[in-house]
Amino acid sequence: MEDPSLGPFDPAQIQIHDFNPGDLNPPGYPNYFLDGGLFWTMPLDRGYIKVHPGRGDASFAFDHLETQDWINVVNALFRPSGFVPIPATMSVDVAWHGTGERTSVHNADLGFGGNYENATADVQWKAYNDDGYWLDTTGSTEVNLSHAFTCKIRNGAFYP
Amino acid sequence: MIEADGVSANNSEGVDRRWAADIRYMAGVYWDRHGRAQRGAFGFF
Repeated sequence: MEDPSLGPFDPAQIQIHDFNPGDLNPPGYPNYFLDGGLFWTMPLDRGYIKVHPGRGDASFAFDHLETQDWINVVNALFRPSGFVPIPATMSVDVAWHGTGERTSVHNADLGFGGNYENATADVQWKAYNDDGYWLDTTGSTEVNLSHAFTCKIRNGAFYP
Repeated sequence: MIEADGVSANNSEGVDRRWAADIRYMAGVYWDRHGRAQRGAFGFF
């Protein structure tokens, strides 16, 4: 999240909030970004997700999930000494609507492949931090959907 | 997977803020740290 009056997007300089769950380890434990592991990812209740295979439609919704505000992506990735993320909660309501445009991708070099379907999407989310800051995307303007798709793939040890 | 951005003044400061979101979920089978196959769901934000 940034202040658009301050100029072009530059997370390192003007980003003012960064809501994500960190990695799967608490501070002081190995850093999964620097060590090549899993970050910005958390286990979820399977009930948050609804998928309609073959139609390309899906939804992902939850309320008041505990997360953290890292202020900017540099803090989120590198955890500078002494930085303490602000406890936060986040609610998300996302719906994918399949367009019927489908493709198969197989990349043996990178070890992944499967079937993809392009989608349009509705995106709403809101976040609160314990310092009293909140933002709700309801009523947003200048909304731009860069990418939206659903897929069923295999990767890593499961590929091919 | 969704990547989207927009501008919202619906916030505690009441001024335009540009937001960007990268939201994904994964539901399926994965290997855990002990090499065992597990079934589960994960979100990426």
